[in-house]
Amino acid sequence: MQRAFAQACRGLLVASAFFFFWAGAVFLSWTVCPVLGIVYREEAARWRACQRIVNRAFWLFHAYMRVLALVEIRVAPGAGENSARPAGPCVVVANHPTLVDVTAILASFENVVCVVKSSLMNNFFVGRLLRCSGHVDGGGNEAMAGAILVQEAQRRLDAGFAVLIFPEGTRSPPGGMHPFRRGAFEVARRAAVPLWPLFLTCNPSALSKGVPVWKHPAKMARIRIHPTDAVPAGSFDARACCVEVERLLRECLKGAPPAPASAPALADSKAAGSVLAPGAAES
Amino acid sequence: VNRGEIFAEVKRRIAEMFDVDADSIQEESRLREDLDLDSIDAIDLAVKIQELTGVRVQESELRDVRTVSDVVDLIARVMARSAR
Repeated sequence: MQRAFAQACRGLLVASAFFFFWAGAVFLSWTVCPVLGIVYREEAARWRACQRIVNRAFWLFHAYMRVLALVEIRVAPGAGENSARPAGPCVVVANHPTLVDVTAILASFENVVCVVKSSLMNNFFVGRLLRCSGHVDGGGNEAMAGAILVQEAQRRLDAGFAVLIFPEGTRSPPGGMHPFRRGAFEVARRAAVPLWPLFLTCNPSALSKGVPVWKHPAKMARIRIHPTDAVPAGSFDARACCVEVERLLRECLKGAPPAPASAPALADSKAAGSVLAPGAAES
Repeated sequence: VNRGEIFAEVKRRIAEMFDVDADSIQEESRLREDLDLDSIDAIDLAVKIQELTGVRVQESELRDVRTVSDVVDLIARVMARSAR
């Protein structure tokens, strides 16, 4: 009985955190964004200014959850030699175990935009804030949605932002990962920017897909962002890189140390002596 | 270049790039539903359109593309614009 009561209380606290989160988003959307739209005519400057404000709101959201012993977010030290964030624009890919991975990554690293589903981008309450922050519309059912996404992402990269894409396309299943889609890797290859894989963990598992937010674990969920070695710009074939990064993150999931993706496997398969199967570079 | 020639070229390229039976590609074929092109194929197709026309296609123009006929129209429009 006592346990059920404690569980219900934690559920309520998590729900309150998300209530404040959405209330804050609606507030910023309809107060700050119109002002930024007038002050900053240049879109990249507006994106930056908006992100500075939103990141403070994320900090508050995370601090609230930390103080209530619900969720704690930290960036773990990078495992490899090149695991620091690449200088300049890059594509960031990550597994997606929890509901707050996006805020965790955006709050931990400056000038990052992410790909957001179209329905949210066009949402009456918060769409304005997402657009003002420079996030990319993931597209609807347009036949050319993929091509539009690549162009939109390129505009952010040109402005010096990092573009965050979850290659699974949705939240990861508990303890695992969905197969990766190639889009993020195509964006990085076509824009000739580095690709930076992040490995996220949440212990104990919380805020995962299919689990209501009020079923929060009794212990504080510790989210850790583990940067892994960046894949240098222009050195990879998208299809091979996708396979290799998925393999790398699956190894991380199994608890193996995140060994860097092997260079030959990432090399452009058009190059002589490639280890890749034919057809890997057809795109 | 007339519209028929553009269609023939588009048909040939789509068949070649995406391993689609050329006979099944009609003007009214929908890229996603009928020809089974996914979002990555769309990226490749957009790149091919830009290669063929030598012009960067606007995102707003890509939004309206649904069928092979739309692709042909887009190429014709872009070529007419760049020829001016």
